[in-house]
Amino acid sequence: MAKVEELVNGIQKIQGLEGYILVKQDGQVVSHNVSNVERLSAMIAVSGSMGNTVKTELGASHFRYLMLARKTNEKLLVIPIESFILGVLQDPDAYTPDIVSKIQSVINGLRAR
Amino acid sequence: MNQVLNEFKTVQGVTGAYVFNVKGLVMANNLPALFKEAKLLNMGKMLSKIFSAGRLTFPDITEVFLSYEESIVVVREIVDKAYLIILCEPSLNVNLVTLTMNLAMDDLREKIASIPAVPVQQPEAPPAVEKSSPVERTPGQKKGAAREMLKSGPLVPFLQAMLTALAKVMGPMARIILEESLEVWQAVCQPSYDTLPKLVDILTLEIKDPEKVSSFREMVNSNIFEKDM
Repeated sequence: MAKVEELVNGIQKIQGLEGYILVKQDGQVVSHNVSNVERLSAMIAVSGSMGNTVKTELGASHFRYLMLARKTNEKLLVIPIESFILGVLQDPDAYTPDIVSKIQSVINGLRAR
Repeated sequence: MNQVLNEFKTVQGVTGAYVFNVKGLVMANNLPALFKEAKLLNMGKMLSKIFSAGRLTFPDITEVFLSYEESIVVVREIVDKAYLIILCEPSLNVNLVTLTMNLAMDDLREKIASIPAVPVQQPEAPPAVEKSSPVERTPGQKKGAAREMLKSGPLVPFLQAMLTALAKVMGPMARIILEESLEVWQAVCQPSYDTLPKLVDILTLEIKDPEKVSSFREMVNSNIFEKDM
């Protein structure tokens, strides 16, 4: 659980994010700072699971992330992290590759320990 | 429609694209032959479900983008329940693809509007089916008609036998899977005893696991088709 806290702390420090939600693969919420948590948790779990199934169909080796883009230019990123799935709401002005890279740095930092 | 899809191939890093309809049809496709029809259908189903799941929370979703180590998948809804799916290399210039998508979207809408409900390709090679046109229904009517078909009518014994066989390989999800497959079956052909093999084909796409597919086909053949001979 200490690593979950560190992950959450690291994510919250990234600029360009409106919120985050961390769920287990079954949709159970581990941590969040968003308002519509019930809907988001289910959607993130389903999207994460299906993104993994598409990976199998494609024959790809690693599912990096999934992004849902809105008309408002806001984005929801869904990132599988071992047995968890992280969902982050991205500001319209933020640049997705930068955000993904920063999140990945936080994750890699935790893994390296 | 393939001509429009070919425009995407001019963008460096694009492997190819296809148009998927949730009725279970690949309407156009210019991906390498390595991407078999069954694979495209399975991917299309998953991607359309991601889109639908996203819409429950954010009704204004415009695009879904999936990033894998070796490839990128971009999905956009062309018209209701018909999706443009582009497969690309990870080195892709996403903005260039998005721009090409924006330019091609109107053309794709026109092409789809000009060929309503006519599939370019069917899932797998289906057995001969009746040629009468399927009846157009709303989604609610389709679900209702699918449930009704399981309760009354001349096909009840066959469909119940199919449900029993399906439950043995898919467990408690069997009824939901059968009802969804009945909707697709009604959309692509006229439900009748003669078109039951087509329903079996649709169900096998849902089952996926080759061993379970084989087991399901055996049960259906012995309990429905051979029994009726």
